[in-house]
Amino acid sequence: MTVLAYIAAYALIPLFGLSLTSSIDSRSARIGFAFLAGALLLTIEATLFTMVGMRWNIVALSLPLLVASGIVFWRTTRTDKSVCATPAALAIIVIAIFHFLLSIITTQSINPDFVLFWGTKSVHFALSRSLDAGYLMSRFAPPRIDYPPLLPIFQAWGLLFSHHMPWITAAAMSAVWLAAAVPVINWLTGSIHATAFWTAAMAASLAFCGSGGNAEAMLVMYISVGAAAIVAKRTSIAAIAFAGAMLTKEEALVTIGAILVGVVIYDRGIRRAAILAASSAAGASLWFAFQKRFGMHVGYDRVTLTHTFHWSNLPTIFREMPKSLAAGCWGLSWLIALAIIIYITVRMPERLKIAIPLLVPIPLLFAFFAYLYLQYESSLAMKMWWVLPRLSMPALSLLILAAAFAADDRMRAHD
Amino acid sequence: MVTMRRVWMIGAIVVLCGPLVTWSSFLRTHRLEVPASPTENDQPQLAAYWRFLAAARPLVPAGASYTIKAPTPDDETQLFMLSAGLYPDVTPYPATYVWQPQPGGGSEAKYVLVYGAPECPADAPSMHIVAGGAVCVRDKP
Repeated sequence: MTVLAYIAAYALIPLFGLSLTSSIDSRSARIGFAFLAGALLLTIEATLFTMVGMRWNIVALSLPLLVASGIVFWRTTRTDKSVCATPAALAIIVIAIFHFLLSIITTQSINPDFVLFWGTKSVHFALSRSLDAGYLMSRFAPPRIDYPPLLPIFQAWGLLFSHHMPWITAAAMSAVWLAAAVPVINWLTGSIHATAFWTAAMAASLAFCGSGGNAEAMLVMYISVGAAAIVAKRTSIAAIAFAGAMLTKEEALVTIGAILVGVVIYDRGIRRAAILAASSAAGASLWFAFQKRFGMHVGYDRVTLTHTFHWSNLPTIFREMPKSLAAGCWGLSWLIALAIIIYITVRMPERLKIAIPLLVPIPLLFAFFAYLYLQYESSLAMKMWWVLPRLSMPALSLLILAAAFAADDRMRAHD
Repeated sequence: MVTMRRVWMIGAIVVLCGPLVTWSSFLRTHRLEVPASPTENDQPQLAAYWRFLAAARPLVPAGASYTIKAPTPDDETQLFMLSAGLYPDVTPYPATYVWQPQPGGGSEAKYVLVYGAPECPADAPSMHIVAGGAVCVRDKP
């Protein structure tokens, strides 16, 4: 019963986000993006509730979002220009998602951080029916109190229904984020075949990195949808996705920053980059405002660098990096996407232009990783093995999406 | 374009060979059963801590207080972090917090969760054996 109640809570999430999907002309993409947007809106609302001293309850949190969705839904003329799916591509997508889901259910891919602090925060927030600043600042606070609140609020939402934490089920919800992003990526890239490859690569990597229950799946999905939306000229979708990413994990700051460099180079102007930077800043600002409101340290604690470089780390960095990029398939997802990019560069270089906002951030991110690892004083190889597989997932996603857009094998509706 | 579509599909199948190998290896070495803890097959040590805390939970009522004793500060730190999710309605008095011994050593707590050898502290003589350790109760915390 606990499990069913917990799962039922998430059926409402897409309904919360429908108000932000009026520009999407594919039914499946609308539902998928509504899930991502719904989680963002719920986070904003739940954070604001706590800031003004209102306790969470299901009706009070649901009602404003449902009303907003209802109004938009009623006013919008709905169309369905979904990209056709082939049975083979669909089969690959389903197998890939089930791989990630079953890896979590069989506890091969549940992240230790989920039981050590993510889930712990969720349980406490649900119990206090607030984003409990008292707990975050208590004498025996959990680790990572500076992490943004989207994941704990998302997990606490289910707990408002189930009252007890179904730990493995809660972790398994990470697979729903991948499933929600698939139709959006398909709609944005216009290629079900590239989407199938992206799904297979993401599922293999997420399972390999133990992304059940932590914030990785959410972060990668927000970043991927946002980045693909930039190339597809859907700036509002990208803006919403980036705001979600900023409320998920502080790593979003670096990735979005690198993507925006690509946007400026591609656009030869700063208008779109400024819009996306503003929406990202708005997402982060909500969390920082909460921190300020309750007297917490404002900002991301983890972004503290010593600026002392240990150049002797370089051989270790080059030796360990390939191993950490295995992504659950011996690195083949990187290599295949890279091979497609190289092929296009040689045969149809003009097509690469469209993918600039996705290609530019990749070397920038790796340069940032190297910059980070040069400052490590000890246990570099072990720390890289812990962190780089998941830190590199957005870059892998960007590379595949760049290849998808550059390959341009778009299948339009009913093609 | 048909060729590029084939490339994507073949690429996806090749990528899924990684998970296929993972699953064949997993199914060779594990039985499919309901896991006793969320990290059962990936983090055996955390799983052992979890099973102990879950077994002890019914003996510690909501609103009470608890501390954790374990063989090493690392055990106590990780057990305490895990316990925060399983004992949210119980007041914690950790003996060790973030690898640092705490003043009082958890002596304020009514319930002492002893991980490992089931030996109660002298001031908490009432012992309930559970899987992985014991729950000891202080008469006067």
